[in-house]
Amino acid sequence: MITDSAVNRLAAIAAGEMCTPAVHEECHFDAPIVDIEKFNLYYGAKRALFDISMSIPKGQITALVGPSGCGKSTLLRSVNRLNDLIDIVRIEGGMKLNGENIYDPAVDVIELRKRMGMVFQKSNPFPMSIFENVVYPLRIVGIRDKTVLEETCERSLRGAALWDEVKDRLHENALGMSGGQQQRLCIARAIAADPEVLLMDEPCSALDPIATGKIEELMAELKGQYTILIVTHNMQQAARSSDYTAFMYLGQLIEYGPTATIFTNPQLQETQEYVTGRFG
Amino acid sequence: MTQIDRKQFKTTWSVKAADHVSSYVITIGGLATIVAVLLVSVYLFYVAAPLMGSGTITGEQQVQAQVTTVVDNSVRSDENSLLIRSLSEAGAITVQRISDGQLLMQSQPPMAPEEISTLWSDPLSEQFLIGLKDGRIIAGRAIAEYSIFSIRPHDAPEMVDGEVIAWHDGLLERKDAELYRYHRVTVTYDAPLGTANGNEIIRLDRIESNDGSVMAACHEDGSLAIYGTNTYENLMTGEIVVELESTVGKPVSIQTRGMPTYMYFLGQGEHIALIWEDGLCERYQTRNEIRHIESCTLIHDEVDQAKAVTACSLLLGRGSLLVGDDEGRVRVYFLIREKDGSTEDGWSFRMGHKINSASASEVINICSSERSRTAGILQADGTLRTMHITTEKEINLVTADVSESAVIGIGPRDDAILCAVEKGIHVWTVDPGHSDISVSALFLPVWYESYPEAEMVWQSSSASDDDEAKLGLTPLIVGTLKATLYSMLFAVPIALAAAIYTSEFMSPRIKAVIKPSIELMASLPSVVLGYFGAIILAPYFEAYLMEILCLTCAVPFTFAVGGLIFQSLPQHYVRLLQNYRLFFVAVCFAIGCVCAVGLAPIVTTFFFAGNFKQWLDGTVGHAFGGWWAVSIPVCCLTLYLMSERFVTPRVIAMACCNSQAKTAGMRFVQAFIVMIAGTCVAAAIAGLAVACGWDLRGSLFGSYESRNALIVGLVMGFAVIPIIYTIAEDALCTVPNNLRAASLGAGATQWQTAVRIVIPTAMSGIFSAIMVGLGRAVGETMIVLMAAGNTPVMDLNLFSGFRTLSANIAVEMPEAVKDSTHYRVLFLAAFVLFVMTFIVNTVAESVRQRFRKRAVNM
Repeated sequence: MITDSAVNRLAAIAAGEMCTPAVHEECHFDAPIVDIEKFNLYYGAKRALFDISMSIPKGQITALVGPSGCGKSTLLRSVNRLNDLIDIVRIEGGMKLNGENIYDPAVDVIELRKRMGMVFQKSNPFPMSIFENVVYPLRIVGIRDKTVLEETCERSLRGAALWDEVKDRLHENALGMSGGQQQRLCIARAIAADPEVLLMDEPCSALDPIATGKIEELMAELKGQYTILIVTHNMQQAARSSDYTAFMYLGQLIEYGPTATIFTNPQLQETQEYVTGRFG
Repeated sequence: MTQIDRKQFKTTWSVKAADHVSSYVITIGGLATIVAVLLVSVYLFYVAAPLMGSGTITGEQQVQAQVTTVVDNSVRSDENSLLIRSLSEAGAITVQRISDGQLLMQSQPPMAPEEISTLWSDPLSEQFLIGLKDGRIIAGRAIAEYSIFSIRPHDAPEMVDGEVIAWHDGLLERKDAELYRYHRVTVTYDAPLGTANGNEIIRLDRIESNDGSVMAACHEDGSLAIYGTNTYENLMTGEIVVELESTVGKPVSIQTRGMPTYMYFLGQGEHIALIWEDGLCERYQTRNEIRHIESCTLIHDEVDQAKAVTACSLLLGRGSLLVGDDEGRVRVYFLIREKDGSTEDGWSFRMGHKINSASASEVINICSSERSRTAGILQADGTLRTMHITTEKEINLVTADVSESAVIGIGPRDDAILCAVEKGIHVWTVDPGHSDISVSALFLPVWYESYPEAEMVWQSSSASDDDEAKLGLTPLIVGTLKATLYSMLFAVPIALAAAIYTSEFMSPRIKAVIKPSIELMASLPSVVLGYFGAIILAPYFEAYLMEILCLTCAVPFTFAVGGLIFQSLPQHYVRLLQNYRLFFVAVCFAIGCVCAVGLAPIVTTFFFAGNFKQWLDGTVGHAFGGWWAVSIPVCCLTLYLMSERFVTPRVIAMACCNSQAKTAGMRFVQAFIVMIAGTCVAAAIAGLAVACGWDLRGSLFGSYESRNALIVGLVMGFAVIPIIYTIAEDALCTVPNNLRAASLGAGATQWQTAVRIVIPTAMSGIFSAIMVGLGRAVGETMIVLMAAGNTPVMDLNLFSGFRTLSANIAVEMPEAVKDSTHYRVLFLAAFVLFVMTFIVNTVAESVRQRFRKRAVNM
C-alpha cells in the first residue's frame, strides 16, 4: 500500500507544486563530468523539466528512472542539445560539461555532440554496411585514412562485444542483423569517436533478456572508460547495472543517490514505492 | 456495469454483405482498370499494325489480245478495275472489259497508220501524242470516266444489284435500283498541229505546265524543238485557235550519236533529259533557248557497271528518273542542288536509290503510278514487281508471261498490275497496303526525292500533290526526348533542392504554408503555362537572352561567394546571424541579378563578337569564344570542388594555429586562384575543341528561334517541379526520425545528415519522384504545342524549336483521314509514346525496388 504522505506529496507535484529533491551526498564524492544546475525546459508553454539540479559523476553509470512522461528522456536529450532541433523548445538554467557551459551561445553544438555518444531506445543503424555504420562519426569529420577507419571499426566493435559475430560480414547491410546486434552496433557507433559521455535512452526496451544481458555486461565493461547516463524503465536493470540512480516524477527530480541506497533504503517513501513497483 | 448481450458481438448479415460486395467491387474495379489500360495499348497497336503488311494479290484475269503490240505506258485500267484500254501502233485506243476480255470500243484515229512515225503515251496521265511523218503532231486523250443515271436507261435490259453488262461502248453497272453507272473511255483526238519543221518526228514528250501544255519533239533532221501551245478563242468567230511557239536547238550529241532512246521533261518542264541506250544522259535547259547543262552516265556506279539502258520511266512529279539496265537493276536519279556549283544552274543528277534484283535478267519495262511513288518493274525472266521507290519496299511480286515488247501498267489507285504481251493483257487486282511505310522508313534515314542525302524527316502534308508524305517518326521522338531532357535539367535540381530544404531545414510552421502552395502549382492548367511561355516569356527571352544566360552563372556564383563570406565570419557572429540566412540569400540573389545585367554586354563583346544571335547563326565570331564561355563555369566548379576535397584540409591544417581571419583570407586566396586556373583550363579546353574542329554551334547551340527548347524547358520545368517536389518531399519525410537523431547525435551537421543519411535512405522515393516527373514531361502536350514552335527538326540546339510525338498527334489527328496511312502512323506515334512511357516506368520501378531493398528493414 502506498503511504498517505507519499500519496499527498505525489498529488502535490501533480498539482504543480515544487518539491525539494532528496539528493544524497554520496553523489558529490566523485568529480562530476556533467553538472546540471537549475535546469528548466519548456515545450512551448508547457514546462517539461522543473529546476533539475544534479551532477553526473565521471566514469560511473548513472540511471534515470521514473514513470512514463516524467522527463527522463528530455533531460538526456538536453545534455547533447538534441532538443534544439524542436522549434518550440526553450530552456532556462545551465548545464556544464567539464565545467564548460553547454548552452552558451558561443558553443559549437556540432562540436559538443561529437564529444558525446548516444544510443537510442529503438536501434537505428543506418541503411548501409556494418563498417560504414561504425565509422560514421569519423566519416563526418572527414577522416578518409583507411587504416584509421579499420582500426576504429575493430576497436569499437570489440568494445561493443560484436566483433566476433560480425567480423566476416563487415560489408553487409547492417539491417540484416538481429535486434540485439543492431543495438550493440549502435553502441559501437556511439563509442567510435571516443566520446566523453555515453547517453543511453532505454537501450534495452526493445530487446529480449539475453540481448539485454549482453548490453548490461557491455555497460559494465565500458564503465570507467566512459561516463554512462542511461534512461531505463527496467528497475532490475537500474539496480543491477548502475552506480547512481535518479528518480524523476512529472519533470521533477525526486531523489538521487547511490543505486544500492535508492533500492534498499531510500530517503523518501515515494521512491521506495516506485522502485518496489507499487506505483508507476 | 450492465451486462452486454453476447449476441451483440455476432457479425450481422449487413456487415457480411458489405464485406462480400466490397471485395467483389474492388476485384472487378481493379481488374477492369488493368484490362482497360491493356486494351488501350492493344487498340493503338491494332490500328497501327496494317502499316507493316505488304501488298496482297486479290484476283487475276487474262484479257484476250485485240492488237498485238501496244505503246509503252499506254496500258491502263479505270478506277473501278472494270475496263482496260491500250494504245495500238496504229494510234487507236482499244477498250476491253477486264472480267471477260470483251471488246467494248475501238477508236478511229484521224490518220492512216502509214502516216504515223512515233507514238507517245504519258506515263503519268491519260494524254497521248501521235507524231506524223510530215512533222505534225496529233494530241489525244483517253479518259476513263463514268456517268450516273438514277433510273435504268430505256434501252438497257433488266438488271440485278451489282450486275455489270456491256452497254453501248462501255459498261453499265447497277449499284441499286436508283443508281446506275455507265463506265466508258472517252477518246478524243485534237486537230493536228503543224510544226515549223516538216521533218519526221522520232521522239515526243509533253508536259502540262502553268502556261498551257508544252511538247518536245526530236525531228529526223536532229533538231530538238520545244513547242509551247497557246490556246485562245477567236472572239469574232468563236473558233478555238491553237498557236505553236517553238524553241529549237540542234544538240551536238544527236548529230554525233543519233536519236536518243528516251526523252523526258523534268520537273515543271524547265529541263529536258535525253537518254541514249549506252547510258549517256544529257540535260538541257528549255526556257528561252535549248542549252546543254550537264552530261552524265546513268548505268555506272562504284559497284556495278551495266552495258545498256533497257527501260526508263519517270515518277510522279517528274522529279525522279527510273533507269533499268540489262542486269536487272533499276537506278533512281534526282536532280540535287550542288553546293560546289559544278554545273551551270547548280543542279545535277545524283543516284538516290538502287533497286537490285535477285535475278540478273534484263529489265524490259518500267511503269509508274499516278498517285504514289510506286513503280512496276518487269524483267525478262517474267518477274514483275511493284516497288515503293522511296522506301525501296517491295509491294507485290507476280510472275508474268513476257515477250520483248511487253508493256506494264499500274491501276490508277495502285489497285491493279497490268502486263500486255502479244497474247493478251494479264491483270492482277491487288491491295497495295500502306506501301510507303516500313519500319526502316519510320525510324531510319530515307532518301527522299531531291534531298541531298538520306534524312529522317517528318512532313506529313505539303502544298503540292506531287510531293510525297515524309513520315519519319525519329524527329518526333528526338523532339520528345529533347523537351524531356531540357525540362528535367531545369526541374530536377530545383525540385529536389526545394524538397530537401523543406523536409530537413525548414521549420514546420513555414512548411505548413509552403508545401501546399507548391502543390497548388501542379493544378495550374498546362495550357496556361504554355500560353505564358509562348506569349509572355518568349519575347522577354528574345530581348534579354544574354542577361538570362548570365543569370544562370552569376547567381550561383554570388551564392558561393556569399557562402564563403558567411563561413569566414567569426563564429559568434555566424551564430547570431544564422536566423537571418534567408535575408542574406535574398541579398546574394539581388547582387547576382545586377552582376548578370552588367556582365551580359561584356560577355557578348568578349566571347561572341558583339552579337550573340549573329554568333549563333554562325555569321560572326569564332567557335573558340563559345567553347570558352561555356567551359569557364564548368571548369571553375570542377576545380573548386576538387580543391575543396584536396587542398582545403591542408589550408585549414596550416592555418589552424593561427587566427580565424587568416584562415578566411587563405580560403579567399584559394578561391581566387581556382577561378583564375579555371579560366585558363577553360581556354585550353576551348582551344583543344577548336583544334579538333568542333563547334558548339550546330550541336548544343544554333540559330535562335523565338520559341525554343530553353523556354519549353523552363515552362515545362514549372509543370514538373510540383510533382517531383511533392513525391520527393514525402519520401524524405518518411525517413524515420531516429535515423536523423542518430546522425545528429553522432555530431553530424544537418547538411551532413541530409546528404549522408536521409537522401540515401529516401533514394527510392526520390527516384520515383524523378521518374513520375519524367513520365509527365514525356507525355506533356499543351506546353510543347504552344511554346515549342512545332518544327519537326532534329537537333539538340538549345535555342531551336522542335515537335514532340504528343504535340504532333494533337496537331495532325483532326486532319488525318480515317484509316489513311497518315492516320495509322499517328496511331503508331501514340503507340511509340506509350512504349516510351512504359519503358520509363518499368525502369523506374525496377530501380526503385533495388533502392527499396536496401532500406526494407527499417
